[in-house]
Amino acid sequence: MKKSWIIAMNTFNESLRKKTFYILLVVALVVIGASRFFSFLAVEDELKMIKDVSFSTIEFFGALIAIFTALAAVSTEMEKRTIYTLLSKPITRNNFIIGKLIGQSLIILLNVILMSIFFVALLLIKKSPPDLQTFKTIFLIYLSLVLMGSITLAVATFATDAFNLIFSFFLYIVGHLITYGKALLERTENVVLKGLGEMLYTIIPNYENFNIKDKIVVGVDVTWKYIGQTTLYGIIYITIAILIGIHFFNKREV
Amino acid sequence: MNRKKNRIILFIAIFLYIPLGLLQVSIDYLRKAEDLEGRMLLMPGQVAGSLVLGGFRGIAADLLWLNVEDFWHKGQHYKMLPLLDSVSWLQPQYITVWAIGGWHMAYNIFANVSGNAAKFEKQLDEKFQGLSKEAQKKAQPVMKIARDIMDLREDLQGYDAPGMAEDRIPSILARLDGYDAALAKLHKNPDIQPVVEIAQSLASVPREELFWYRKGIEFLKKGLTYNREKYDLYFELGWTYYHKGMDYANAARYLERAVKFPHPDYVDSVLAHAYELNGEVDKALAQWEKQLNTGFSSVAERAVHAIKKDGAFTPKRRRKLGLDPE
Repeated sequence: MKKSWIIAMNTFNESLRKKTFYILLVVALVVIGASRFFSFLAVEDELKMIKDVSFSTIEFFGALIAIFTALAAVSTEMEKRTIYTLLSKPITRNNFIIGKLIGQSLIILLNVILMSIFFVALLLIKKSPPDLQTFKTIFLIYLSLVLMGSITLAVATFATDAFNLIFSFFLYIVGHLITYGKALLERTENVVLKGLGEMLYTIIPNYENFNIKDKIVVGVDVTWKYIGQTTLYGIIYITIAILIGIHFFNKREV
Repeated sequence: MNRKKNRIILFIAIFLYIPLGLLQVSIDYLRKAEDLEGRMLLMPGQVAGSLVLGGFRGIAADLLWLNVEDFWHKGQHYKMLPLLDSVSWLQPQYITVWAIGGWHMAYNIFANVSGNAAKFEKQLDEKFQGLSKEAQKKAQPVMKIARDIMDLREDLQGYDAPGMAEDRIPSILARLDGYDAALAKLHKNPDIQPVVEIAQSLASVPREELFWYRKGIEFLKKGLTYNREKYDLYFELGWTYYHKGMDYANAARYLERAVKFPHPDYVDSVLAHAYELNGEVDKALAQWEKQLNTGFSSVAERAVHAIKKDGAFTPKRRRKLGLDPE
């Protein structure tokens, strides 16, 4: 674990040194800040818009950071040939992948925290302090970003960056649409198609599970039971992604 | 790592899909139970449609809502309707959309339609004056119908008018059907056709007014099906029935439900008025007495005093009972 932690810290510091992280963060903060321009609307509408824009910005820019950090995690080490030095030391490939996952999760966490602080400050300026539901939403967004990062990391162990980038964004969109796909599937009578659809429904990460932001902004309360189950779903899926990543990284000739 | 261990890792990963699938079933159930299911909306050519694809329904709804605001300020009320449907479909718990949408239909579009009546009345007079003496004589029944329609419209909206109570609507529509039939017969006379055509347009006004009033009510009721645990839409419905429709029985019915949830003081006050105008004076008195220690205490004191003394507080009812001058 200590070895993984060293890799994690290294990944975290490496990401902090990159300009991309700061550029994305600054743009995200500007977008969140820009939501204040909705002041021509009624107070309630303005608050809703601030929340909508902020949650979506945290998710969207968080996704960019998660994907780009994960993309760079393996390929940069390969390009710089530092991976040979790393793996020749008493660091296993498992340590490497787990360390990368922890490192990128920390950088995503830092990013989410910074954006959330800005968002909360905006709410406080508007004299509408955030409630527990707001933090539940941010937590699920964070979990979905870690999941996204872990899938990208897993794919990075066997695929090229270009493929991985397209695949990750494609999976992000499909993962949001899969619920509607299932609803359509329920209408079909073809058993084979139905079975195939059910299988895909389980295999493809269901990002909609983590998407409660649209409901929270209009006052729907989400129970702890739901948060708990979704967290468990996230943890299991992240574990699957990492195991697959370890499997392919072990097979890879380095 | 040897191959065997690597295969075990892959096997564990695949095996984990079993609990994941079971968990997804449970999450699906919870999403349904907690009303967390998202809704799909594809609007070709609209940015909002693409945002929905990425799971950003809130932003999509906001963009559409900004368009609604834009159309509203430009006075293009009809253009707002499909957008209102879209926003309410994407975020049915967004109460403002239902409240504002219902108000636009029952008030603003209603007023737009009403604005046409004055125009038709003027045109009708001008056309009538332009007819020959003989044609004017033939057009007298048309003018009579036009006057009846104007009276009927006053009955729908005047301050002391009977209003648009639900039980009155079938008879109003039957009356309008009668006018339409009579005007259709009169239209066969070529000498007075232009006058009849304007009268027909005038006859369409109250029908359209009723349509938009009922459409507003319907929209609010639809919104209520998604927001039953909050006072807001019960109040909006109650207020629309009370103020626009002068349908006090329905107003009291919905306002009674509104006060069962946390609500501002003015909701109680409107309920007291609705009770009184619905003829339930005892309930009105009890409702005012409940407000003696609230922000409405001074009004409540006057109301209690007036009801105990005269049996009426609301100006409309006082005039009706001859307690206040017309």
